[in-house]
Amino acid sequence: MQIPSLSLSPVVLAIVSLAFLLLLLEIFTIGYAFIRQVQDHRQEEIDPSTRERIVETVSTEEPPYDELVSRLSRREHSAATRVTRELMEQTTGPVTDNLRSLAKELGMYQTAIEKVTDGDRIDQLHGLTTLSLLQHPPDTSAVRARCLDDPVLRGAGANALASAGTTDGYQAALDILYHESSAKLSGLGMETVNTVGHHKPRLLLDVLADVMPDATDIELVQTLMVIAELKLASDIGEALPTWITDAFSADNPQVRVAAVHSIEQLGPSVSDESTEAASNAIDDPDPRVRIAAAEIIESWEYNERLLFELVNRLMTEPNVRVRKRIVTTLQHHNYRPERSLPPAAKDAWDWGDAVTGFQSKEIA
Amino acid sequence: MIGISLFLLPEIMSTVIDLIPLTGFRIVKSLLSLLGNLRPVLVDAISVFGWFAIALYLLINLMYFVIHTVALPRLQTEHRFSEWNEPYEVMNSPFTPGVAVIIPAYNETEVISECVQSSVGLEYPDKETVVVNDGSADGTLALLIDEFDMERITATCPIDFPTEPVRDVYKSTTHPDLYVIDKENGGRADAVNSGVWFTDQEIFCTIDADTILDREGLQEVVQPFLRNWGTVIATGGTVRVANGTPVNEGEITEPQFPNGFLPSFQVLEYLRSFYSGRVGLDTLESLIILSGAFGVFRTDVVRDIGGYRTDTFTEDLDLVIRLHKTMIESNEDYDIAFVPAPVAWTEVPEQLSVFTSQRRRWYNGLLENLITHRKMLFNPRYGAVGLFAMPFFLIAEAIGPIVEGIGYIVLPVAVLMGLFEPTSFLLFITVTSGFGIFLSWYATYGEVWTFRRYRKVSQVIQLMVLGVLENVGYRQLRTFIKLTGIPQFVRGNTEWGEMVRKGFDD
Repeated sequence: MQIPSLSLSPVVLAIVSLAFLLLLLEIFTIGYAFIRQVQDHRQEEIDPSTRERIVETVSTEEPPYDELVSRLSRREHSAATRVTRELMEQTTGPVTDNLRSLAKELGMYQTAIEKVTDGDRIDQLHGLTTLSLLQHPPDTSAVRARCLDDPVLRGAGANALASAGTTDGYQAALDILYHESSAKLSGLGMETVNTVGHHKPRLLLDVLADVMPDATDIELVQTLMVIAELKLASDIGEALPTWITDAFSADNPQVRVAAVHSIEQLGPSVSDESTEAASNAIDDPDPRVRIAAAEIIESWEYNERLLFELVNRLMTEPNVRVRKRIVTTLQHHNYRPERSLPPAAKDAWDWGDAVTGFQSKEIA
Repeated sequence: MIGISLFLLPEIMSTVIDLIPLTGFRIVKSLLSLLGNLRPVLVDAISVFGWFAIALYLLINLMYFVIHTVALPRLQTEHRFSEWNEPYEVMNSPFTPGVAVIIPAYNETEVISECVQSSVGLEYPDKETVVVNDGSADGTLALLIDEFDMERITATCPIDFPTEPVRDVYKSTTHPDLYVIDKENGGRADAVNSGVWFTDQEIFCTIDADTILDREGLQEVVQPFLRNWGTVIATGGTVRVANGTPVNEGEITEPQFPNGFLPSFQVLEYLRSFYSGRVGLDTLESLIILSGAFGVFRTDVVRDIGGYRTDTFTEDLDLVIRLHKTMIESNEDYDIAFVPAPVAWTEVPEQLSVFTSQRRRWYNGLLENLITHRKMLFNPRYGAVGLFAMPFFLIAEAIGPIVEGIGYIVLPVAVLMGLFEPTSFLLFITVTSGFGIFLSWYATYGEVWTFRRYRKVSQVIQLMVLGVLENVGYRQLRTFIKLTGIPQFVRGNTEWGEMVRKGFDD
């Protein structure tokens, strides 16, 4: 057998190539680091003064700001774009309207539209967010054509469409979010549904009545979580929407948990269905649903019937987390069981008492 | 290797038989003559080893090259993504999941105060901090009680902890969301488990007591849970070296380099491991490690699989592998993601003895996990995890150091015996080191091109110099530590070894 021996010339060639590659990498890395450091330095010099100028101008003058924009050098223009965007994210009120006008005069709207139509996914996200901040939505067809690929992009597109605050914008946003290609919402998508529900509850309920029967479990859970945050009592009327009542008996316990939470804001007074749903949830086979039931009953007004049922549950409840949650609810309503508690429930009660004692101390 | 042993067996056996009646000088003489007789066998053995080492070297470096190559564009994408601010206030969103920050602490008086300060100061809407005092023998508990005005909750916690007994639970009167669980010593995994069982939060984040999180780090590392709602079960962030960096009220603003070669080499090593290794593995859907110093998990999923295993050297690696295994076997749609933007700053060992025990534990933990989860190796059922991640760790991280260590001994011997040309030997060493330097510089370039936490040109030059120097001494040291730890592994020693803390710089 031959001893492995490396012939010299190809190896030397390989080493020279590697050394050359390393040299290039070194020069490139150090050079790039140097350029970035210089850029940082310049940015640190220019940003504070630009910020000062912009804040002063938008606070004291009304648009247009063509004079300010025309006097900016190229470098100041980039700084002004950067600073204006930051300020739009941080401020509210009339100054923000002025900032939006300035942003448009700086060309931010045009750049954002270009990013949405021609950019890659991250450019599109940046572009759509700028449009949301400017409250100047893009064309719905552009969002439909380019932004349906994933939940995050869909959420950003819907948010931009809803940002103008018009009924058409809200409708378009919901269409995008609950598009047939959709399987779930992103956090931003849920926020957008929340915004629509806050401003146009009837519109949201009508759209959901159409789309929810065909929704995936995850989409249903997310939508129910949004409903849990909205005050829809007056819009829902006397009967809960069918898609919510169906969710109470879904096979997937996560859907049942979300369904229970969805009636939290409605309270037991809206319909008997809410009370019945909470009552059934107390004895649900899944502990997460039982915890959800205890949570909503805590947030509701004192309800003798439900609290009594919770005590009954506490007596036999095998899951320690459910026991803890039931105790918190009972103690919140100052509802003390008349019967003596079994040891496991007593432990949970004592723990709850001790923690509540702590909260009183913190308040004091 | 088995082939070589079988080949040598008759010679060895006859020598052993010959040796029995011999003594003193005759033994030495016989051994020399045996060596002479064995020369052709040695030539063949070294030849086989040489080819095996070269083939393995090529395979390992090919895998590293693939991982590093896919990492760089992904890192750039992640950097651009991290600069995108969603047009709503995450801090005020009702949909942001609650997080428990769990900090296991065993004899951590030097660092615990800054760590907890950092945790309670994190910008996050719904969080609680659960420090688990794992039977510390120093004043860790007393320090926490004093520093954060902790008071004992007078009732017994009703939770049935699957851990060593919990003695008491304390709550802070000044920070309403800060708890301390005081329990008997059971090790890091046991301590984290008690926090996991204690909390009611939807997700939990583990950080080590010698770790400081970026103020917005928790928000960033939780983002995948919001963006890919319902599918993400675990995420991890970047870990960097805190040694030498000033910590002000639990916050790091301007990272500095540590003094001394040992921690400095680790700065580069962590950079390479996270910005190239983790990002690359994540891109290849092969992420099986999330650092214990900064990992986020869905509480219910971890509880469902029984929490962290307490009988392993590296419970973090084991947990992530088990999560993959469970989700794949139950056909669940899931994602385990690495987020490079948020950073946890950790104190690395500065003493050789501490460094040695840490690295031995990591290596032995890897061996143990590969054995435990051997059914997943090369198994197509487990997708990229079974076909790439596990084989990569087996070949590059488990077998690689063994062959490298043997090579450091065998190749010079082969050169001395005239079995290997010195020029070829030197060229081989140069190419190996050159590729090592390339990988380190590639990771440095990734840092400069993207997140730039080390902003100064001098720091970048320092990183590049370290990339060269680590091939002379540090690399060999790591290999030596791993190899010499194998007997410990064979004996089944699961001792952690003591981690000596120096404390953060003011």
